[in-house]
Amino acid sequence: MPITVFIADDHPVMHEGLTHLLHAHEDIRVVGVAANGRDAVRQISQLHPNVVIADIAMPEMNGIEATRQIREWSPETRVVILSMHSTPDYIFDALEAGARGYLLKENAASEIVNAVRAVHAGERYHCKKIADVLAEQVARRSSPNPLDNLSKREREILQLVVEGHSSVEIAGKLSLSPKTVDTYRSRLMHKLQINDVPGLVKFAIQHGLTTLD
Amino acid sequence: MLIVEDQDVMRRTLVEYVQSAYPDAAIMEAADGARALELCRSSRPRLVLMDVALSDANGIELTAQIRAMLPETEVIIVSQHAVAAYVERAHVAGAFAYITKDKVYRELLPTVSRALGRGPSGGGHGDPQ
Repeated sequence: MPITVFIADDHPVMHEGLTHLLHAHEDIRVVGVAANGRDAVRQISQLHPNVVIADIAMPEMNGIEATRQIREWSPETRVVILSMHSTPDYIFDALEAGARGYLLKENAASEIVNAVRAVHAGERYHCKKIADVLAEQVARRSSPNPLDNLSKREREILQLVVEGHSSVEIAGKLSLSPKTVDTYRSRLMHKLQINDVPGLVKFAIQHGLTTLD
Repeated sequence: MLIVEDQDVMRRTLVEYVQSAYPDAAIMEAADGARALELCRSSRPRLVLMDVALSDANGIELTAQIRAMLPETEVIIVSQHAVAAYVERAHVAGAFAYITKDKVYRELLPTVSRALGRGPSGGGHGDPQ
């Protein structure tokens, strides 16, 4: 059984180009095309193709709203967005609407077949540039790691303190004076805004510096 | 002939479409403005099909540069949308014509034919719509 594909794009040149590309593969068959989102949803709710390739910018109903409605009317159908836009808003909107893949039109020819096969197999598929944008957004959203504010020496001393070593023991291990160890210890507690050893232990466990063992 | 288009499926399809109508034509491709200018300098195409929104350039500004560099070269803008201000700017830049991508199968080959001063020599696809 070939993978059935529907193409939603407002440009006939794209219909022809994509159909030509996909038909070169025996396991893929294009079953329909539409030039706007509304017509696409109407046809897809009857055809129930395995995969839809949808542009975002289409008249009457854009590809993101179409994706939402396709998910409603044909839940088994997987949508791959094919767009010229790579800004986070477009990508998030498309993924929130239920798209399983996102490709950019600048390099679709080399990836569209892999994308169709991947989403049909239940995987997600994003081209490299989109994956990079997503990774960048995740990195920005993550809260900064307070450990990054500590120097290498402060992190060493933090670990030894939470492991139960006294300042004298730590001084011996690191070839420092106990007074210097105390200074490092006060400084790191100030940086972490933690006032006691139990608080340091809790912090160290949360950030993977030590375990409860 | 040179086809400047950043979307690879669109570019390949345009190349095949025009090549089928003009089998003897040497058709070059560029995905961005820098490559387009490079090919214009080195190969002096008779005709350029130019997208507007390129990753590194505006196709209308590129058209003005190409026309200044190669006055014999005609440029047909093939754009996503028919924005009136763009159409006007394209003509000021020296474009031969401005067509939109949704009308490619209806308007491109007749426009190419007028720009080259000769009709297609091959079969062509015809308008599938």
